[in-house]
Amino acid sequence: MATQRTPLPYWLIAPILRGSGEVWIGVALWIAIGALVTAAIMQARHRTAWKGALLGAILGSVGGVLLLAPLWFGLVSLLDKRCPHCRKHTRPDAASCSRCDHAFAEAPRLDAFLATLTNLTRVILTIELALLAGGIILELSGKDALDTYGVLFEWGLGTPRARANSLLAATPIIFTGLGTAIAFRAGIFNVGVEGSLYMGALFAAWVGFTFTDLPALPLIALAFAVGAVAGGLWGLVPGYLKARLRVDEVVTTIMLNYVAIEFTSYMVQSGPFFVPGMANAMSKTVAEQAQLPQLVERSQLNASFILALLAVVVVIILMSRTRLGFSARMVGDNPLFARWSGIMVGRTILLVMFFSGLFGGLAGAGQVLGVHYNFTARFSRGFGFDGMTIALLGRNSPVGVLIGALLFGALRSGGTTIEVFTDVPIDLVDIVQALIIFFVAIDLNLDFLSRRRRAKTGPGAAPASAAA
Amino acid sequence: MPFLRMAGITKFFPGVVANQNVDFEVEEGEIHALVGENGAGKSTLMKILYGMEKPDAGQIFLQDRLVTIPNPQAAIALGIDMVHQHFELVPSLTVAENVTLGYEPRRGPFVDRQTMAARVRRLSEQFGLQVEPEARVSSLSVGVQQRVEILKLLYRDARLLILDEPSAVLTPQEVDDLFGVLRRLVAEGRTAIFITHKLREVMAICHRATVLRAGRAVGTVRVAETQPETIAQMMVGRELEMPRRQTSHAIAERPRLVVRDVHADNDRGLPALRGISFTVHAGEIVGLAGVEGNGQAELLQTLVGLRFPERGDILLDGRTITREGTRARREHGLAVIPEDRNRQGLSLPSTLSENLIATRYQAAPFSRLGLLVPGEIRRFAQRAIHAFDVRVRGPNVAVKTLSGGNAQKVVVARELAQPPTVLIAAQPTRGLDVGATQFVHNELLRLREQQTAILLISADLDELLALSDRLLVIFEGALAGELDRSQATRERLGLLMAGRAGAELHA
Repeated sequence: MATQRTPLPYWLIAPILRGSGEVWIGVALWIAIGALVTAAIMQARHRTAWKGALLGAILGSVGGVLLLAPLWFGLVSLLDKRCPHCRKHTRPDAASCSRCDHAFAEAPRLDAFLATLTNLTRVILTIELALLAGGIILELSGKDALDTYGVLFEWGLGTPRARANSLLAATPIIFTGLGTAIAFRAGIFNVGVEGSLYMGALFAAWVGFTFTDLPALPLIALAFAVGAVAGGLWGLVPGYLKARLRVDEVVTTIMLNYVAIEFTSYMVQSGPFFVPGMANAMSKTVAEQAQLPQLVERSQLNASFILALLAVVVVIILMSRTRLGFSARMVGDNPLFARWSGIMVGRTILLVMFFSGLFGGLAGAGQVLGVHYNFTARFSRGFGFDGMTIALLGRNSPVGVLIGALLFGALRSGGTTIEVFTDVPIDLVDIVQALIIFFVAIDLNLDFLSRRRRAKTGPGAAPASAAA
Repeated sequence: MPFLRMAGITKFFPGVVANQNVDFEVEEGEIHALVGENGAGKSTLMKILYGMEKPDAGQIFLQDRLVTIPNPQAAIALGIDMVHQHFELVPSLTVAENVTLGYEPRRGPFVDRQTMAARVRRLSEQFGLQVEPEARVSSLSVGVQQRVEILKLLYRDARLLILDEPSAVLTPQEVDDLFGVLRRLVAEGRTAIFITHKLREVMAICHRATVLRAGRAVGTVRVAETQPETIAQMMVGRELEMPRRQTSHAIAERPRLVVRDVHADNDRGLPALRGISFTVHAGEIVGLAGVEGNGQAELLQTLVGLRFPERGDILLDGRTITREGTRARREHGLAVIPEDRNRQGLSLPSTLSENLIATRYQAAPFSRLGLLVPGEIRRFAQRAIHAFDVRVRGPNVAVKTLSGGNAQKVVVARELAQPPTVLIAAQPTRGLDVGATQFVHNELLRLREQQTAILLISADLDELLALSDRLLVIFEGALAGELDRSQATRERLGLLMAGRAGAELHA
């Protein structure tokens, strides 16, 4: 996304360029990757767990320097800016030549391309590292990492049906990821998308089994709309508390999640939606015409996935092309500045929280109408929380969220079969996911580090020169 | 033999040369001014001397002995110590505790508090610093806190004291006190490097001055044999001009901004404004002088609509806006240059064009039916960049990459792109170099010609005296006095700012 501005992780491509301490992070990183990749290959060949890995690590360290360095050198010189005056290479995000101070012309296309490439590299690298670390944990616990990953891959992406199931698993977390990303972008740490998801699911189910006389399309539209609004209104509660009473949203949204989960459970366990004679805590089934059509044979992948893709487009437009998106970004970037500029910070928070909850509600409605066909108490496998991870992974950009959700979907869907075909517990998938969060967090930190260093040393940087 | 000699100091930062082959010599027992515009390399040079940065090339000699200074601890051990612009004091500790922090006198494993207090008291008396060792730092005024910082250096037995813009936070009277302290220090054989860009102070206290420009040492002069204009020209490499206005054009009797008996509380709920009343007319610049922390921040917030008064009224062009929010006020022609450029005036991670439209994005032509119009936004940004001469690659650059002067131009461009009815400019040139300061001053004067009413809140008396038609002085939340341009002098303002009030004035 063009408006998503992330500084280039220079440490990634810096091993070859001279200069700062960032270089060493890059060097260490690429040697480590080289070592691990080689170790993995060695291991696949010889099946001798530790000697092979050790040898591989040594070979990989050498190989990492010999093979990867020239590769990156080539890539970096492609990206580098070259000063037309003195022909000196300068880092690609520089505004002027480091030797003769010749100012570079802006190249928005190239900059956007670099930013995209950067984000993509970051996502891939994060996942790669998480898988490698997960592999080490598997080996440590005496399992065969490659076998396990093989099964995971096979059942996540290997066949058309596996791919469909991965998309199915991705559907709700695309919605929750979008909802979370909107709030995060505005600087609101909304943990409550899970609660909105439950409220949206309950009310969508209610529409689905109540207005059974309506024809298919209006009924589905109504169910989605009511579910979305229910989720949105649920998000407004902490939004109002934050905007008007300055109550911290983290605490309120966490607590309101419990309220939503328990309230919806009550509704089907003993409340108005209780169905006598039903063993499980679930509502009536929605009308047949309200059940979303399936997209492929022998999979529950349904039309809500299409809606999720549409939602990605809607959020792109919402965040980059609308007034609300602009004020949300400004509030997220610098709330004090937003206030001084006359941006209605309170109103922005309210609207952002409404939309954030709205996408949670859509996630719930999609699960009810497309998968379960009723409201089941506690049906969510933490979709709202996966959404937070995905929003972090995707850096709050809608496309990043989509990629992250597809990955998580594949992990989830492949993970469920792991237990069947190997002796590895399904918890492995959770571990890999946790590792992804871990590496995302580290990445954010490095980012922060290099940004601060630049602000401190860059003579052009405003804070430094104010003190000069 | 110079006391300190820095030879051929060179320091690169990515994209910029901060110091290039700088030679710098300080004699023992002198006060040596280090002057230059922002970004000229003063701070970098001193950070190298203080061990906070490593030079890419060059050597440091202390009394002709080659020394390496890898970190501030090493500098302190060599007798080189620094008072930073932002004090490094622990507010909840006492003066003596702060002064001795890290070097406490001990008796066995315990801190020897008696010796601590006694030593600090003796030092304070020796140099006439008049600091009470048992006082809590949080209860001290800024001027006294600065003396505590100096005391800290003396306690660590610093021979060479670096003072980074020490006068920036002081009232004129406190500056005089500081000068007294500095004179006593050098009389005792210590040496001081005085970083500043205020020529008046260089002339008043320093023996020699070294001028840096764009990372290079332009030259060193003996202050007694030099005119301030000479130093100024060395700094900027061109004739420096204080804004000279046409003698006051007739100010129309059209009140644009009327503040009537405004009372407001600060964030802690204590009264910060106690009955402020004044009027700014069309085509008039009214200066508000005062030591920081006397209610300026609260007054600014009240005028902008970020703080609501307990009592009183604010009228904008005849319309009561007391209860209206910031957006409504801005839509009625209010513009604001906030005092904290990087937090209030700009969103650093956002792009230039986002910063430029943040006050007007909600209206046509920048948005229609809730949707932004990117073409209009880009055109507006490009026009503004051109009209206000912002040196930047393009409108999509993040503002955090701009230098201080350029960043302030972005603020000015946003606020003045459509001439406002009322402009409130708070510290509009703080931290800017001479060129950028001139630019802002000229813009303010141009706006005045266009009948904008301008309230100028500034800590820089020269700026206030040069620009204002009338001057107000705020002291402890109330207006301590009002001076016409012709009556205003530094001395009178200084007295009013210090609360030594109006008896003689009204006489």
